[in-house]
Amino acid sequence: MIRFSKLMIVTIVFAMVISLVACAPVTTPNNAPPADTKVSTGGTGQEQKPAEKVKIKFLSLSADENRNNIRENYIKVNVEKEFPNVEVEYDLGGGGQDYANKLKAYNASGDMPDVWFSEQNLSTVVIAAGNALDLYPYVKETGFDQKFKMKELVQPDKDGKLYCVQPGADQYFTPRLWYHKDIFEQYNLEPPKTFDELVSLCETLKSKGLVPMSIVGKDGWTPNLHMVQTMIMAEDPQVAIDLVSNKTDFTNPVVKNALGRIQKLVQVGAFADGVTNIDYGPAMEMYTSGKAAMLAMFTWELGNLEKASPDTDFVPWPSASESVDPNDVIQYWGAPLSGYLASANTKNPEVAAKFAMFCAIQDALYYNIEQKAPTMLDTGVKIEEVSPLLQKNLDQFDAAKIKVPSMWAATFNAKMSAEFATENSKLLTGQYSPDDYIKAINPVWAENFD
Amino acid sequence: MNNKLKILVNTVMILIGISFLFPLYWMLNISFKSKSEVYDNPFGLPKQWVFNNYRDALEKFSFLRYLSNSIIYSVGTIVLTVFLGSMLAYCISRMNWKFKGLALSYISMGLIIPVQVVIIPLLIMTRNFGLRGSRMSLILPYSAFALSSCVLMLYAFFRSLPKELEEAACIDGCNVYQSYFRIVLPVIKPAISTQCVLIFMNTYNEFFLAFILGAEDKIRPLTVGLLNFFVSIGVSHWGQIGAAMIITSLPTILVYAIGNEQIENALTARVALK
Amino acid sequence: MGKAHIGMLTDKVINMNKFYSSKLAVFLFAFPALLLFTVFVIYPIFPEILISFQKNDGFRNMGYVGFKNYADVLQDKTFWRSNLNTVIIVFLSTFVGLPISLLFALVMDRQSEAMRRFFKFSSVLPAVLSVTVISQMWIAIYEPMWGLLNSILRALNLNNLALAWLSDSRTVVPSIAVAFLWQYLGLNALLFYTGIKAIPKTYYEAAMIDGAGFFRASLKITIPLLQDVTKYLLVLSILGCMSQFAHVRIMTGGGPGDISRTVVYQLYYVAFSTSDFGRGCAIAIIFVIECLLLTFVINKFVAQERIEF
Repeated sequence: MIRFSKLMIVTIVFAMVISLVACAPVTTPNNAPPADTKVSTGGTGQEQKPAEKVKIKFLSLSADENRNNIRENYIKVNVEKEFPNVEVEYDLGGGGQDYANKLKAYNASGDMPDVWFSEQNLSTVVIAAGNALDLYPYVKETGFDQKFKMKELVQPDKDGKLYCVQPGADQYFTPRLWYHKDIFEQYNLEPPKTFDELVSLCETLKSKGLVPMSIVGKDGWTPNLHMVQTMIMAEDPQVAIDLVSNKTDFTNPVVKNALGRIQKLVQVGAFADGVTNIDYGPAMEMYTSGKAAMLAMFTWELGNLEKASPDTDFVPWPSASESVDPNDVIQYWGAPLSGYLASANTKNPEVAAKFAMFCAIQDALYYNIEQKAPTMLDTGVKIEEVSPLLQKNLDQFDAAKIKVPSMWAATFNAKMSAEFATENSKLLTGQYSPDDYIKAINPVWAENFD
Repeated sequence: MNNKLKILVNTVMILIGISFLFPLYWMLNISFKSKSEVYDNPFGLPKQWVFNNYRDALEKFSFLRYLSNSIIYSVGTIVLTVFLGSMLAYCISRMNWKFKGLALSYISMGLIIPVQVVIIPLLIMTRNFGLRGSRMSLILPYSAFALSSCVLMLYAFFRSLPKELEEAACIDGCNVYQSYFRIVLPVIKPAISTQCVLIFMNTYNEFFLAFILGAEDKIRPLTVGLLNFFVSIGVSHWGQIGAAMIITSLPTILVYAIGNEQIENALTARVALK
Repeated sequence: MGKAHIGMLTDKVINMNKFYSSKLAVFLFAFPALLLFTVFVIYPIFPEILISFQKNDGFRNMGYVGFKNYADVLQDKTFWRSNLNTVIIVFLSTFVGLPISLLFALVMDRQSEAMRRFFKFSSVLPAVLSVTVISQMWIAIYEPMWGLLNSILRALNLNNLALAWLSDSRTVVPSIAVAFLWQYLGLNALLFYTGIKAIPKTYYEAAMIDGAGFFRASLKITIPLLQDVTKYLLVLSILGCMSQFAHVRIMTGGGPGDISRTVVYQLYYVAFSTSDFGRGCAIAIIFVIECLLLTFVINKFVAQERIEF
């Protein structure tokens, strides 16, 4: 024990000496940037020396094929034309938790990239920490806001600031129940309209040796992103709306029924064995290879699904109550703070802001051209040769009377997302009761809007 | 009876021995399969050999740049760790000073501190030391974390060395530095090469620190460069993942194949020397 | 013994003492390594201790909360579950993995030279490959529908045993432990083997005369003489398993739910996923204390007189 106390004393002395060396400058960088900023903005604003390139550090997701395509084939290709004086350094952030952790580590060390892409729950934390740049003046100045069909997307917040610019592609994304027409014809089956039909359909498909429905079970992904909310909407869309606007909580009986329906699906064998460990890629593969008859997925995969299995069709999610018509209610993905943000401490706010807007436009171009998907940001590209399936999707989307924003994308904070994912993953084991689920999640939900 | 048991034990052991080669087989195998075949026929030989996976995998990232970074990190870490670590180990095992026992316990604390715990202070420090974006920002922490096991192992080695070695040198009029670098170090070469191989394996395969600290493309090592292959969203092409795994594993397998004998000699030497 | 000889010996001792006691030499040899280690490994612990008393979301400090984080952690069922999982992994790797390695080494000692060379090369291969590769391979082995394990079980008509290994709360932790212990099985066996090789053959010759077979010879001679190696491996294996993170991260992500989280994974989850840095740092500090205690206990019980031969 004497050894240990000696050890601690030596350690503490050492650490104190070093903290003087290492920690002292921690405060200075935080104070320094303003001075720095003035100098460099002056420089770039006048653009006296075109030879000297401005450096921008850009962090984006690299675990998602859409994101990679946008970065590699649009942003990288077009940036030289638009910003001849800017040199962009691309930081690949991976995806999911890796990405969030990287951004958090950067933020904690005061070393944010100039521009980055982030989803709502991550953006809110950065904004709360005061590390996001107000883009509103630049949006106004460049007329970027004039390009939007949905003006709310480029309107400032309650505090008069706009932190995020986005292509407005997400607003059109909605979860669908996809199915193989061929398989359904082969067994003489009809796509389900009600939840009970879905259950018996799953039982039939299971008995034929097929996986009835492919979902992404790892970290509870599909229930996280939409299935819990979809099951709530199937019974009473108003409860889903109330949850998003914090007017009710998870103790609501409709929520419990919704969780019970997912548990029911697990128990009848609707999902593959070991579903809690199935990732996005394998889940898609399971459907496109025909091992699974149905797939729970958002419309952002529509193009890929059509290409990989031409017999694909979809139905809106079946309802669980007679008063709900599946065609009337729809959940949309878009969230106000999901897009490109710039750092409040960037040396070149103007360049950073313009680059963020540029990225949003490239993003929209990608969706318009390659996915033939509409965006709220008008790029001037006319979407042609829309496939019948895509047209059907858009028509149904436009015709829906009630559109509910995604609970996960638009309201959850980091803790709620993490705990929700944990609970959903447990729910998918089929041995976890909705009551335990609600008991665990409700206290977290209570703090979500703090 | 005894014979039967012996045969059984032998068979099981041989099976385990073969299982150690299984990852190699598995990686090679899936790297020649098409996207869908990996799912239909995950372990059997490819029905249809696909050679494009390697080309496609190589196209997706600048392999050579990442590889050279990985090698710079590994070599830098090896040089720094072995140089400093062997000196400390020698100092603890041979020299007379009050705190040597303490120093040994202190350095072994490194074995129990997970790097996940200290990542944020590390990031702040590398920036404050002006190391951000330089390769030293990874080499220094790597070396610091590799020191513990290096010192512990070399310490055991030095302890088993007969003191007559230095006595002879001392009589010949060498000072402590000369005797260390000219006489002692050459003797423990097998131990040092073992450390080199071990540190190489660890550094080359390290991911977490490299991911957070190696933000800029020009200093990124292979493990991080390959990230795109190993994350789930949108990536399901196991053939290419297999090819990428083979490509990245080759250097370690090579180093191991070369260093294999050395490791064994060193380990044996160590036990024998006691 | 002549007088001259003794005189020379004392001379030498004095000389050597001077040789080893130079303050400057000690400083030059020890300081650089200790400095590097302190700066990058030990020092960062101190900000962590500070943060463990804060409400901190990883972005900003929202005030000091005393021991609240520690109290929260100690009352958290998931934290204890993660401790249990860590113990299971440590236990399986140490008390199942090490004996297998030992047996493997003993058998290896009896093989022909060619076989031995093959084993020597193959046994370390898993430890040499990256954790990512090994974990991905085990995911493929455990896959419930087309995985190797279940395919074999089904071929043997053991359909009941064909479980969803990594998704079933009963099997997930042992399954991860098996993957982990297998990766280092060969390396440990090789270490045991080098220990066996160092035992002088004369010991066995004596035993052979007594008519002892493989098992008796191993039990009576080899194993007792391997104490040193065993201790070294025991410490390394226990501490290595304690901070187990990578395999869990890749194979299950701690799932299903929170069922397969280890302590370090729980730390990572709380600090990064739920953005509760204060609590995450509290777990880190508790973990370091646990490890210190464990090292203390190991040293107390395992440290024995070394056997000389």
